[in-house]
Amino acid sequence: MNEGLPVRLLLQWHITDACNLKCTHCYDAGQKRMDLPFSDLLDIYKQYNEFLLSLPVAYRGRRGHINITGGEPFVRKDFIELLSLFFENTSLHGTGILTNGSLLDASMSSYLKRFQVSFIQLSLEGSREIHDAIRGPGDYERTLQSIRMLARDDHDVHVSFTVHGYNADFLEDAALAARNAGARSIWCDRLIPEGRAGGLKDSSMHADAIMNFMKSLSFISLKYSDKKFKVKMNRALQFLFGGGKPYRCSAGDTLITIMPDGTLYPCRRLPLSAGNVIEDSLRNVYTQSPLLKRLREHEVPVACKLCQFRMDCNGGLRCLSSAVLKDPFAKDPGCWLTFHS
Amino acid sequence: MMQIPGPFFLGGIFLLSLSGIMILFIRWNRCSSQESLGEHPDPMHIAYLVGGVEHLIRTGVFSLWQKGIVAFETKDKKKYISCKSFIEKTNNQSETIIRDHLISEKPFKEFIKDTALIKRLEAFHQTTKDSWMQKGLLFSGEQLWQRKLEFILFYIIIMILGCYKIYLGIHNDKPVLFLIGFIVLFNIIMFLFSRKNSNLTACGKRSVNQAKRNLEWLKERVTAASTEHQRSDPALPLAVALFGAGILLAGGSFFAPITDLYGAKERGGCSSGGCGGGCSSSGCGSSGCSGGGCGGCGGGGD
Repeated sequence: MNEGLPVRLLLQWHITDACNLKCTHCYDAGQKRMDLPFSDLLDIYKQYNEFLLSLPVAYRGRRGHINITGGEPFVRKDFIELLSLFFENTSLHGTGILTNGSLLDASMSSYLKRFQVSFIQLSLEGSREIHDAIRGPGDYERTLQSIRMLARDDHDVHVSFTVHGYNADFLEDAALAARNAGARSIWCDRLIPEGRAGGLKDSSMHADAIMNFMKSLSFISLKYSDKKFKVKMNRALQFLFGGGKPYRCSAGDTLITIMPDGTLYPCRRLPLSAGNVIEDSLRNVYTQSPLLKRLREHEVPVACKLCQFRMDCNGGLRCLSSAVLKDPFAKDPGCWLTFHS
Repeated sequence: MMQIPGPFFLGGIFLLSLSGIMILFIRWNRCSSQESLGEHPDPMHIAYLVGGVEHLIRTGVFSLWQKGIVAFETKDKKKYISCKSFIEKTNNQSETIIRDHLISEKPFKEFIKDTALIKRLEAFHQTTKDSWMQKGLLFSGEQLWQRKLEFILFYIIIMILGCYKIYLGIHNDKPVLFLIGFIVLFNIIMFLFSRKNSNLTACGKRSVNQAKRNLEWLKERVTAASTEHQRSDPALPLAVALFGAGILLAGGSFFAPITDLYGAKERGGCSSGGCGGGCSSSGCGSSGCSGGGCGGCGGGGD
């Protein structure tokens, strides 16, 4: 039976809450869940692989992709062991790592190369001052060193930029630094005021400020993108200035997130529990959770009913609606199109 | 002027014309603004900006047809347009104005040239027009007049110089064939130059072209329209506004009533490069996802 399964499934797997940094804008609230033992990780991985194998075969190419993250994934000592298991199934899914880069060294880089990790994502928050104010003193230089080292080893390095009221004017600094260090791209999305970020005063951006940011993003993209480096514009609402297909939130549909204790969220930025894959099976949680089922219906928020892009964008960032309006099915509070209408 | 030898005069007038054309071209194509139509992409406003009021009516009629508010009929080889419902909400003031002018069935060719309708739409869009002029996307009346004056003055100067030298040459039995050839060529170039006249400034053209690039994916929507639901995609009027009604030809028989009405030709539809196709940057490649920007939000708790 098909049960409305997706053609592919991206898993963002937070294997630990432990982190060696305390970033001010992190969506982690500081509550530390106990990490699951390695045997449970193996069980989750087995379930995920079985789930992928049961997906309709119409989709050419890999049926899945795992983004491993934390906390800081390299804090877990058995992380490399997990990667070596992933390596045995490269035809089924790809692997990406989202890290702060502070625990990376040359030997780890060569492990990652050996295990055919598709990409590694690090974060820059703007200029050195802004970055260090958010992520801690000296982290800017450390991050750039890691990017340089990974780029030298020919890894596919991407940089994430989380935009908010404090750093919206510093994207160009981050883009330039990322390009010079050898990253292949930078992409940015808006801050979700969850966890520690929820207490970040004056960080939220008004719809008009977001529109102006998108305009400057488009300008920076034109200025810095070339064959070797891209300033990507493929997140919610960015298509209006950057081209490409409109982004539609895929949380709960082709994207799921598993937390360190096995809790399944539609997305890390949408921390609403759909179940727990230790207590129940991944397949059951995916197919039976009312939350995930509703997310897969892609209903258009009431406030977007008159918008011409409603069939494409579906209401923008559900995570932002959830964090700000406490309703993931409300319209993106940062959308200037519905704001002005 | 009589003393200037023919070849020198020919060279001189050639250089003068060339530099004049270049100066006019640079003057009229300067743009320093970064205005983007992505801020408020209202299809009716964009149709008005791209092709004036007639294009706006075509776009509005298409949108009304999509919503089932207007219908078309052919009688004695003439295409007629009529309103099926005055109760249905249009949610767009331009569309309401267009619909309200359809109290009785009208031949479409006459409807699209209806002076009263054009005047009402012009009046409604005056504020938008003024704001575009302020942003430097449209020429103001004064700028257009200045442009015409510069063009005519330049044309007259070259023509007076050239024709007077031809008159002198003929009068003194000198060869004037090359100069006549030059004047003919100059007239052809100036004719082509004058035909490029548009109300859009260089910034306006750049903004429209940028919007076309950014919204290229809309072409895919037209080709993908194979169900009633897809035919009523609310993003399609924007595609018509930006790319012209010809784009609907790519949708095949689904849009036949409207393309027949407009007599849409391939021009403005899909280019030889094809419509849409290919994956966008927001999709997953076969190798999975990259850069955190795919499906998932990436940006882990690092």
